[in-house]
Amino acid sequence: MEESMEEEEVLIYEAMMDDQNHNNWEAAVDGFRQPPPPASSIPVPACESPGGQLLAAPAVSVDRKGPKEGLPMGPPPPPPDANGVIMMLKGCDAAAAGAKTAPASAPSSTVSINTSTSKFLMNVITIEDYKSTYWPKLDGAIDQLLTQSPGDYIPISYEQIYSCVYKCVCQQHSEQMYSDLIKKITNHLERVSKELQASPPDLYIERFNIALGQYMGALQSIVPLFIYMNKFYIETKLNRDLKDDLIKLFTEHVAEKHIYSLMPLLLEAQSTPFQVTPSTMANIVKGLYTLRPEWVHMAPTLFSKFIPNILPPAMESELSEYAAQDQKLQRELIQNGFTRGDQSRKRAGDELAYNSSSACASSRGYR
Amino acid sequence: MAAEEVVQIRLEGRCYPVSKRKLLEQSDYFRALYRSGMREARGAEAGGPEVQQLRGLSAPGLRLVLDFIDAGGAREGGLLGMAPGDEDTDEAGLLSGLVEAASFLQVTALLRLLLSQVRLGNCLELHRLAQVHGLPDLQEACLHFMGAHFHQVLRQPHFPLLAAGDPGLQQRLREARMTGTPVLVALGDFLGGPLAPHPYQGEPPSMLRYDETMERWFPLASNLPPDLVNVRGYGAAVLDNYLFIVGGYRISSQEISAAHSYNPSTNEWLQVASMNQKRSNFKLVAVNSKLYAIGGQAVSNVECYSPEQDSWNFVAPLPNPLAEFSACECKGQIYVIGGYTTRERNMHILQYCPSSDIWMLFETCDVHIRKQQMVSVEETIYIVGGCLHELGSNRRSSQSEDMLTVQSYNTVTRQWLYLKENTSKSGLNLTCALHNDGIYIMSRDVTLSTSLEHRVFLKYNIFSDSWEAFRRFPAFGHNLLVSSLYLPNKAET
Repeated sequence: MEESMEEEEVLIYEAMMDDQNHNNWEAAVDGFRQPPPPASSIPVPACESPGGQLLAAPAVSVDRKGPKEGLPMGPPPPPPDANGVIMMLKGCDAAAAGAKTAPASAPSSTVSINTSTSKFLMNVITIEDYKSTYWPKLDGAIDQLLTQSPGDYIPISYEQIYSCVYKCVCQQHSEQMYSDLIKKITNHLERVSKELQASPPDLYIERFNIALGQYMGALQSIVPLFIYMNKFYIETKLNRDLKDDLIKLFTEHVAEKHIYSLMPLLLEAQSTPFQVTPSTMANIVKGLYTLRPEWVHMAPTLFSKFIPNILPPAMESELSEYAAQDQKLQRELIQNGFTRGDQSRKRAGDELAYNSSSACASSRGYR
Repeated sequence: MAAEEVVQIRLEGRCYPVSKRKLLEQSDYFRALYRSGMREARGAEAGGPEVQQLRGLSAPGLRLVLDFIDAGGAREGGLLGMAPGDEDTDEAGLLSGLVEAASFLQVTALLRLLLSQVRLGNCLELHRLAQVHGLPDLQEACLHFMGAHFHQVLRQPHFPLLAAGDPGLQQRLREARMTGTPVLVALGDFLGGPLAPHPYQGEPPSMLRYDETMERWFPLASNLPPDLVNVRGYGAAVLDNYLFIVGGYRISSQEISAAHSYNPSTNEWLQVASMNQKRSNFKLVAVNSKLYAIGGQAVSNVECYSPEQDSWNFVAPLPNPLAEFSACECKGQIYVIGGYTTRERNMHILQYCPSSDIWMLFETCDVHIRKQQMVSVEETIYIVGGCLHELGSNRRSSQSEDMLTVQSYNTVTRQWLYLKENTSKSGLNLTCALHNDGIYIMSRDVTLSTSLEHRVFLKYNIFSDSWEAFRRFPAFGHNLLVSSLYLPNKAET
């Protein structure tokens, strides 16, 4: 009687924790954060066997593998790395292991499994470990990436930061890490937006361009660093994509707030040669189009100069109509004070804009 | 053709040369690394070969992964070191190193290949690794495999340890086990013939499944093991969606102790541990993930089978040997009703509590019943068929009438209800199974006086308290058993 009731409870419990993707692995572990219904509760994640990983000595697994693989007995532990992250992580791993007492079911460690996973994941990363050690490391790297200029040499090691992300994902901190990442970047972008608002109008376009380029450049590095989290948390559990999410953040926190002050300036600058460099113009227009294609409608002609095929293609059958439209436009221009005499100067400037924009875009555009 | 660009992967002071093109093709890690523009993406220092440092991975695991990458990912069959029969090498360690390196480097093709490498020897370990590294596809594949081989997985030496670390595991396996479509399955010596439901070619099958939409019986692509043909008086029970056929006697009237289980997920019969006691005309009951073989011809002892150990152990015996009795599970307890002791009618309802291993006298009845079948739904036991005999009216000889009755006994209120009768059908030697919303019954038509037994197939609907009759029953057969099992859905097989 008791047992069947208990089973029912577990069943309902499991069903609640499961999601439509059956990502029970997360759910099972989440279960430990709340008091689990079954009587036996060993406070380690489901993926751990009690005892096994906590008690495993790294040297043992190395020794075990070496001779069987026919490899020379290399130096068992990796050589101490003077250079930061791994050292820190190791120190923290050890601290975490030290802080924990082995669970009561220690005799089970006699069974020879699980001792080998792994030097990476040997120790539990608690949420405190994550907050005190892992996230600050990521936080620092992200700061550096967000604030440097595109094309600058990045001294950060991909392998070290990726390892940090990988461990946090495997230790079930994806949700926290994702929310921290979004929070961090949101804060950064809000600051960027405020700085833009304080810019004098004559620098506004250029500064917007720098902010956009810098952010897109940073994403080129930030997104690859978090691919493990993207694949195993964002894509699988949230059905989204990190890069899209981060681009959307810029749209929401910067571009949307500035589009109505930026657009008139762009239109004005477009008709005033050399007010902004053509490459800046090209970058911004292309960038805005990436962020939100609908913004084309705010200035179709401007966008069509930089983005191919956004206006409907010219049809041979409608040539006479185009000619009529052109004549109408010219009449309107004359009525508004544009004389034919102005035409030559204007055209020359236009041509210049075209040529230089194509030359510069490739060097300054975001990769 | 220019020489391929080679990258030296360095781990723990050793270098492994790999083609850069293949690395970029196979590993999302390296693709992202070179895209990131970060320190390592700068390429080789002047003059020297390009070196990529990795840390913390296991060297043998990394080597397997790099071998895979070097082979261009097109590796068929077993992965190196995962070939069948390689069990005694440090497979668990190698496997975990392999999965870790493949996950870390995100070698998708290799992770996909692992899905087809799930075996009995590695399924638990792979499942654990899939949880650790967050590989839902692999986890799903392992769960599916373990559900299909549930009892064999329970018997893996390291299962108890893993289950202790992951209390939800057994429940998830059970859920994976109980997937598919519930189908009525009939076993027996079917005779075929002109009235047979299906124009069988050759030997008539010994296992049929019932297609409810077509109202037809079809042969199952499996047959009774030769050992079981012509065994009568066996005990049958479904445990964890395995159909167990245990004990019985052969035509030569030898009693046997052998036990077999049919696994619908793999469509296979497996012989499991034999009982300690040869017995026939006994009851086999599944309770709390164990089987109980209760009594038998002149036998009062009771044995318990646990699939984890694949062994039978004696538990508390019946107070007396019983004949023509029946038993079923109800709310985690076993109830034994009816039949005869060696001296008299058994008027007692006996209750066995598995956790305390005690038989108790639950209640004494006014009505004697024997040769009935019993199933339960929640706290209600349904008593199907059998011979009834009311003690107060034993002179009216109503017990000689053979008819099909359904009664219920509520184990909480202890109330008997006489639910339904069908005077044209036999209540003796029937077989029945709880399935969907009713009790499906195979019996005989007693009104037809043909020399061959005329089989009928009908259903007692528990919720509407009514009979439903079906046509197209496999007309003739002996020694029948009907049972409800989850069969794998067509798409999965």
